[in-house]
Amino acid sequence: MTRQPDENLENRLGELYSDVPVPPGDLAAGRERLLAEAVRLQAQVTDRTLSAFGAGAAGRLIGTRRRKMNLLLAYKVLAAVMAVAVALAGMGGGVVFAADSVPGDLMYPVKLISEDVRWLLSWDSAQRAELAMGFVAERVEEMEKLAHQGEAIPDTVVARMTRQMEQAMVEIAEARPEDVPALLERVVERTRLYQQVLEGAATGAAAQTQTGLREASQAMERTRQNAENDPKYLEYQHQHQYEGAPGPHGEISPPQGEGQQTQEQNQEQNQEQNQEQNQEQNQEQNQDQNQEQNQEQSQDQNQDQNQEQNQEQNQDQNQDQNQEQNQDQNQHGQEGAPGTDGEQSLPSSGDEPQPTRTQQQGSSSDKGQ
Amino acid sequence: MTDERSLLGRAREYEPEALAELYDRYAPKMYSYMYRRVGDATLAEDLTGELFLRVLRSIRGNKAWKASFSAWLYRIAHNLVVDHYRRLPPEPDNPLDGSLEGTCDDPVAVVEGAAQGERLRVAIRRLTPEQQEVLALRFGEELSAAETARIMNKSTGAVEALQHRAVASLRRILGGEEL
Repeated sequence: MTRQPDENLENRLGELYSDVPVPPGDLAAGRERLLAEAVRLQAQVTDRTLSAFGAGAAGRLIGTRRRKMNLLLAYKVLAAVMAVAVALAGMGGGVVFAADSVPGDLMYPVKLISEDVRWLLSWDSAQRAELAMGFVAERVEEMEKLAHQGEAIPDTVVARMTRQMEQAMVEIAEARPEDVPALLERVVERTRLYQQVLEGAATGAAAQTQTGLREASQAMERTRQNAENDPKYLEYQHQHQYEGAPGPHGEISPPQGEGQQTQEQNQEQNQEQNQEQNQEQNQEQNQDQNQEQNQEQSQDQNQDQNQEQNQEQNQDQNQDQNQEQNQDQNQHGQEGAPGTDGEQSLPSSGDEPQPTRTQQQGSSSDKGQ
Repeated sequence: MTDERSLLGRAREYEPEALAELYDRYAPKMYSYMYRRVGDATLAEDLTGELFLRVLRSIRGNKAWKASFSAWLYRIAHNLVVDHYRRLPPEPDNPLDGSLEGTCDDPVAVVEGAAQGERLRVAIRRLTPEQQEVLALRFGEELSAAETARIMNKSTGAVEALQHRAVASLRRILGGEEL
């Protein structure tokens, strides 16, 4: 064995190894698979985190009144919990199976109910935003699976995903101000990623499937653009809009009308809201006043009397105010009416956005099942 | 360029942007390595994709990447190549059992009519997986003996000895023909 032949051989090896062709697919497929898998794993992590959070949420549901929750909603939460409990008891690990189901599967409704229950048991806006985006990831995964199976994308899935993205944005608007930029950034990142997944799934898919995937991708684009807007604008746009809003699927929700509400409905709702707000404000004000003016009288008596007086006064005032407000809102709601996917029209410049319950309920009325 | 440690921390949380950046940074290099090991561009690309999926699934539970992410990638890549050949049905011309001498009576006849590079490639496939790996890392990736040693979990001296045996075996397989 001589050194010279070895050197020749080593040089030849160097030449052989330096000859590497360009990858045929430009490494794009691997990138797409990696990001799709990241979405799936991220959703799993979110689910686990939220499941852990949900265990403590039941206690908070009873012990706190951080969010105003009417009896109807509470009843429906209990009904949903019982439904899931029955499903668990009756079908054993059915919910586990349901996690991987897609529209059309027997277990798919169980998956949606499970999501609704988790939604209704969460309180913190930042977590609700994360939860809603986790549901969006589920919808994206479902669409990807359907596309790979060569099946068309049901309109309901696209509509549901759109609604869940809107819900995420609303929760972000209600989150603590210091959390908003990071949450919006995550929405931008995720929607960009989901768009890539959807567009990847559309490659080579049947024309009908491509249509659904493109609609979903466009909805992603709209949400991303919305998330890239000034957070202050976002907050203004959505402020108070979704107070008492339904869950992401619109199933376990208070009764709603299709499209715009009537003036009477708006009056009733606004009266309730204003009564609650005014009661609280007046209770505080009157307690202070009565302590000074009526020291001899008991506070309890004054509170009761003043509550009644103020309720009457506020009802009268609010009726007048609400009539005016609702007339304006109904006119505006027709101008910027939600689209078929519950998409909200952005106000034109100079036209002050009027975040109305009418718009929200119109978008949430799409049951999408 | 984002600091790699912070990038890996974010990738560990499955952050898409971090993962995309890692992929763009390392995938071309790992594809080249894969191609050098399997000699088929499409297969090399598939294996590169599989490599990053393994990275994604292991990055939370495995701490090995903390010492050197690049070395960790090469180790996973090597395991993938070995797994790939294990799945293939045994071929007389493509043994990977480490037995070199006497496996081919007439190596020139085996590669007769093929290009000179292809002859060499075929000969490399007759080496043991470790020998193939050391050649790919030293002559393909142009890594130092110390870097190669870190990837292969061996001492530098062991790597140098392994490389020497690999070249000698290759020369024997080729029957001393002029290259």
